[in-house]
Amino acid sequence: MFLFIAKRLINAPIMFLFSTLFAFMIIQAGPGNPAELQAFGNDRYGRQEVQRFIAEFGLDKPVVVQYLEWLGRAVTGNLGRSLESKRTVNETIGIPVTNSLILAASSLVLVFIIATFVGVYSAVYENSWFDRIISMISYIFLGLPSFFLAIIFITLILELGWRGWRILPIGGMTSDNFDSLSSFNQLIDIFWHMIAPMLCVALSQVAIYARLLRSQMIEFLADDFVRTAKAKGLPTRVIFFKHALRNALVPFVAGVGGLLPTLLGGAGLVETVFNWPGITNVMLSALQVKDFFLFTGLVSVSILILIVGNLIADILLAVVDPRIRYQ
Amino acid sequence: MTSLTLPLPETKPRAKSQWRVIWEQFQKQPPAIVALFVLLALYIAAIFAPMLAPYERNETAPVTEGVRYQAPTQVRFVDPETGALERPFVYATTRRVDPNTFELQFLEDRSVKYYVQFFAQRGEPYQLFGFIPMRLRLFSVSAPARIFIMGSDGSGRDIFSRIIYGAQVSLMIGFVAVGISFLIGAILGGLAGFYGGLLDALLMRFTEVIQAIPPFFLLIALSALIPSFLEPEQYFYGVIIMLGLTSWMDLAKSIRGQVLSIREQEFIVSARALGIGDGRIILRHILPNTASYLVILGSITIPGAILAESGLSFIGRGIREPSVSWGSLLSDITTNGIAGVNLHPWALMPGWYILVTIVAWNILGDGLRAAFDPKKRR
Repeated sequence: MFLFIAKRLINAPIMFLFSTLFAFMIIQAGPGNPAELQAFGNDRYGRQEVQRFIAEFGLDKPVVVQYLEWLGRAVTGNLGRSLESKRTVNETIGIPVTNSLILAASSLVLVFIIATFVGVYSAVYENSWFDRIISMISYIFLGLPSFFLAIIFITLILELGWRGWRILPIGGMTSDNFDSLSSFNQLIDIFWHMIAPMLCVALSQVAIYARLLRSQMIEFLADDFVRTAKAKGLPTRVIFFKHALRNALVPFVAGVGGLLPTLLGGAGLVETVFNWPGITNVMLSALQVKDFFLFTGLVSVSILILIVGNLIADILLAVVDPRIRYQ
Repeated sequence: MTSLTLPLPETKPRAKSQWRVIWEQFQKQPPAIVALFVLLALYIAAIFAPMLAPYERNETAPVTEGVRYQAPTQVRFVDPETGALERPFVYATTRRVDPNTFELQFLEDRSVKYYVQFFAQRGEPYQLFGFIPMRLRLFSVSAPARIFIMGSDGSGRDIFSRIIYGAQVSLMIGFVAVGISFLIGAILGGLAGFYGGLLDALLMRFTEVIQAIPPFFLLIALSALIPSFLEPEQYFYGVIIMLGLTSWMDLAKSIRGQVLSIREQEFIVSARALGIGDGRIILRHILPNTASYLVILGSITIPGAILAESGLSFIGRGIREPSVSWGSLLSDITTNGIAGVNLHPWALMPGWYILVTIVAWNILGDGLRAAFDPKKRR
């Protein structure tokens, strides 16, 4: 197991290196060039300024050289400067990345809680009316694009608002009077704004993982060791939770660990609909003006989160299930 | 003593082919059959789009005012004054915003009835299947009345017509994009699985490197590669290629696994012993054996591609005007201000079409999986 984890730990930086290189090349390969986009519609931006701009950011060098220079700075934690605002990428993306992580991490917790409950319940009462209704509902949530679910939520919130039920805000992360609130109330305010987007991000994943857990539970409940446990006269509760659920949770834990990056990406569209100040909006506008370094910074942070997430998932799996033998 | 002779069967029952068994198993699953018919109906509707849609996809009402976000037109069968049953007809409507409550009101002009005409020659000529010139519309009404059976959007365009035209893009994209990702996945996965060794290691590391970029971010990064000087109609192909390029990784891994296990089986060893070349072994012996597996994988990947396209078009990096897809239709809601969406809930209609399509594909996929799985035979 330790060999496996050590291998993974060595593998992770190599993955990071190549996938950021790949992302860097994709972004640079696109049509249009940031210097011209800066000059566009700006009379004071002449030939000279364009030249200076290119030289300032080293845009005339070969892509690989640019990448190596970027990487040299990135390993020290400096992601370069934004071409558009000239501020450092670190300070530009700090808050959006935090906001996106808050949303994704809370959704992850939600997925875990709801999916465990629903999955276990529908496995224990297999083919009951509850199981059937849940299975139908999960088909629907699997078919709903997250952004469409977000639009439906907003429609419902607005409709209820018209009838005098102002239960949830329709967008943003904070209320207008946020600054005047006490820090405890500020937390409550953020949470209040997060409920709807969090549900939109989580629900389709809940459908996937509840189904996974259900089928795992059913498989284990029919297994020999469960029959033995029954024959020994163990109470049903112990059989469910100590025997079946513990085994069924293995792939589930591994999956949930790797889910954070999925949620981070999946939250993207929900963020745009709910106007959540996260990564996606910054990323889209960076793409619009060809802000290479801002975009690369965001992508590499998300790659980092993905690789670390997968690493944690692998380690968790190795810890949870000692049967798994890795070469 | 009675002799017991059993009548021998005249002919031996023929062994059923694999595909026949699968088809019979598939028929035993009512939800999958229903899903298949729903999808067939949607795809046929997309093919006959110009005939089914009463208006062109970008046709705005000539009346300058009063058609933005018009509620679905009420098709009447009963004359409201006499109570007599009639052929279906509509009234011309105008929109008004109530000065006090700001609520939308649609006023019907009850003086003239406009009967719904079936298979009438109306509107712009179009080409059915791309080559048969026609002007026939399944149903239509004469101006100034308009028949918006699902209401109109923020620019006064018929949502139903746009959904039908959007189906051409949204539904087609699933097939073509998945075709591309299968091609890439089969080539890379097949090579890796068949030759193994260093090539396998390199190809699989490459796959993992691309998978380390969150898929949605990879998709929007790639969408920036589509040259902006392309015509909107050509842009469509760019989007398809990008979707194909971002969805082959899981396929390549699965196909590699399949090829790896098939490669070790005896019939491949004997084919090798016969001196058959690699290319022939791959094409004639290995690929056909992965066919059933590929069908299942396809039914899983297609809904994913449709969802990805809808998301990409929704944020404006996918299909562009004047082309329409279900995702780009939904972006009409956000561009016109989401804060009033509850006043015109019919603008959400394209999303329900996405939902039905994806659910149908998922149910069909589950049905196929069960039909292909020998353990689940009934």
